[in-house]
Amino acid sequence: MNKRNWDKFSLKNFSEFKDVDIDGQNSAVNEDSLFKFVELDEFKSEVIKVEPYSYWKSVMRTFIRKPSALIAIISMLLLLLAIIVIPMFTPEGFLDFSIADKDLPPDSVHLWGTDLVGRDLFFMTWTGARKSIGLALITSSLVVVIGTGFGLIWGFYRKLDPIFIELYNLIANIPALLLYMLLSYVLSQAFPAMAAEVRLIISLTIASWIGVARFIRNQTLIITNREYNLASKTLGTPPARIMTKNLLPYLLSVIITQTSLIIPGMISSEVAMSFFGVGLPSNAISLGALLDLGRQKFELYPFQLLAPAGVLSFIIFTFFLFGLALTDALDPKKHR
Amino acid sequence: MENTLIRDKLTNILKSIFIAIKRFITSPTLIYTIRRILSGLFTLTLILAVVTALIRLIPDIKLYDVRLYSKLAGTSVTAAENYKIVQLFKYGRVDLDGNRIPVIRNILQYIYNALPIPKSIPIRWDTRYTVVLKYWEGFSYLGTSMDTNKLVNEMLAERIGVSFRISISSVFFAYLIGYPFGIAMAKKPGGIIDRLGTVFIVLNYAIPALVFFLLMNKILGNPSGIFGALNLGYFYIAGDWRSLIAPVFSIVFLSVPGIIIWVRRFMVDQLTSDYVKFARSKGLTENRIMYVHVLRNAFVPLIRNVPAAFIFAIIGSYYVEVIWGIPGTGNLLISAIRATTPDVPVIQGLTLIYSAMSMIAFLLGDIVTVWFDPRIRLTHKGDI
Repeated sequence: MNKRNWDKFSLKNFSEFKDVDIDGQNSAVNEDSLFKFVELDEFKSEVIKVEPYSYWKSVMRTFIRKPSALIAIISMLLLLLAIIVIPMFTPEGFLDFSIADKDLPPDSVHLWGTDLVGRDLFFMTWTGARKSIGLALITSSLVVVIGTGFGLIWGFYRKLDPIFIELYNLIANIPALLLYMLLSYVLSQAFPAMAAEVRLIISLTIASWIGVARFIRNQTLIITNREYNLASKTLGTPPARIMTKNLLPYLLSVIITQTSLIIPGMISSEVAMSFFGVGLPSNAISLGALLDLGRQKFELYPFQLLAPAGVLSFIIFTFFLFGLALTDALDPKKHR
Repeated sequence: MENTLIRDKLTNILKSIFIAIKRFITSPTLIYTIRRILSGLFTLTLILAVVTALIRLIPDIKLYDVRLYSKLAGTSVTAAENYKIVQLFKYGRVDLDGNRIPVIRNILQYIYNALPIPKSIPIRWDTRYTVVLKYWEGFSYLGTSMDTNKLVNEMLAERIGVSFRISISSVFFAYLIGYPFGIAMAKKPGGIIDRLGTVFIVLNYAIPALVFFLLMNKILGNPSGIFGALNLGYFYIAGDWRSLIAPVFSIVFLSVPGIIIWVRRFMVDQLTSDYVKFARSKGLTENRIMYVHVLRNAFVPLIRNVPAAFIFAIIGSYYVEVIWGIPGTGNLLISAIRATTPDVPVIQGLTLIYSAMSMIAFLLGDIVTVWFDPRIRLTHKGDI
């Protein structure tokens, strides 16, 4: 019973008590009138007033309630708005080389100044950011889908363990950046017609899926012998159905957590590859290429480095914070 | 009488030595180590095979100068063909008669060359490629750089020193800072140090490594800036350890959070364990429990994580070497990949070195763990 109801109840009682004569002279008062029968309502007693626990609703509630999550959501919305809207309003010729406009300081025309080949930094950075984020989102979803699929198979069929472990050793023992570079380089030489973006996506995916697969495999191993899975197996449920109906829903929250933490890593990798000159071509608009250009004249024009660096930091920070908040919210232990 | 005594003593000593040897040979650690080494060699072979096959995907036309070829073809077709064959021969695509060499032979040849057995390999021919002028004598031959025409072995030996110094020192300092910090955070979970540390970790993770390295290079190196008095410089100068301060500091700064998180989590877990409760009920002070009981247990997993940190430092050194212009292996790799004609032997050699190093590091981590904590038994199955 909450407080307000209690107040009403007591007030009502009080008014009834006013009629009662303390000396007992007015004993005509019926003692029964002080009591009221509560009728037993079969239907009402079956209704549960408390909202039933729903995992996703609790996730939403925990997510929204946290201040850090709110900051993450707001900056994520701002970021998405910026990368969608700003490149659409790029004035004519602002992204072209022009010697006359090179190395300009920030002013009202060029909000963040221009770089050393005369392109407007504000629009350059946000266009580059859109490309980086787009590539990272595509790559992350590919990595997660492939990794989850193979991870489930790896965890479910224990006989495949030696093959997958060898594959894991093969990929994991080559330092990640070396593998990205090697793949991207070989692809660029073998298939020159392939777009640089596609090349980047393929090489990042090949090098990263096994990490997700291993993670999912370990999670699968933990739950695969639970009773409900054992029951499904005994009942003759086909493996594909067990994987998609029993294991996958259970792992969904972990997969989302993984994804949210993979995305910033992918952005960093993409930018690093472009910076080293093995990702997007150096004349393409990308944050990595901008960083490489910007550092050349940092002492004279610090904005040329600070603009892409600041935007990249903002992106990574937002995605990271978002991932952290999501991880917290998805943890059922924190649902209270 | 004395003779028999001495003989008895000798036999006893021999027996104990024999038992020790037997125990050593049959010890699970040794068997595990040998198996790990064997499987590691297998993986290394696979890596080399995959990398060689990948490089074979590069079409022939990228491996020689097409303009020079057509220029030569204008005067004589055979000269042009010879030029092409010699170029492709250098990459192991064809033999000197112009017959194609299959990929599998490339792979086997590379593995044979890399195996540490004495061999002599022709490395220099006369201009018409009929007479071998120079043989290479030695153990592991990793090829000759296409770019500088130097032996890859020598290039690696020249450059690995500085990369190694950077990695080792950054791992050392990262642990030196991260470990006490993690312990301080674990001492009072939710306390002020813990909160500050958490903020530091989150901010640190949110900084993109590349941006951080670039800014550190510019800020720490600027002679007229805040740190100008330290005179750290923008670029690495050979033999000047001061020029390594900025890059090592940057790597340390970025790798400390990983250590802190890990130490803190471990310590907090341990503090709720039975032996800590027992120590507390004995009436030991918190500091004694922390530094004598928990820390001793925390040491073993600490060592296990050193290799991972080392690998991180090596990977971090790509950025650092390119940005600070350090002539290390990372820089070599980037320049080999960015070269107009691919420097295949350098790429292969570096892949070999990097992969072997990471494998050895992980194996060492496991062995040292067992060495420090005899309760841990290593098995080959199931844990990756």
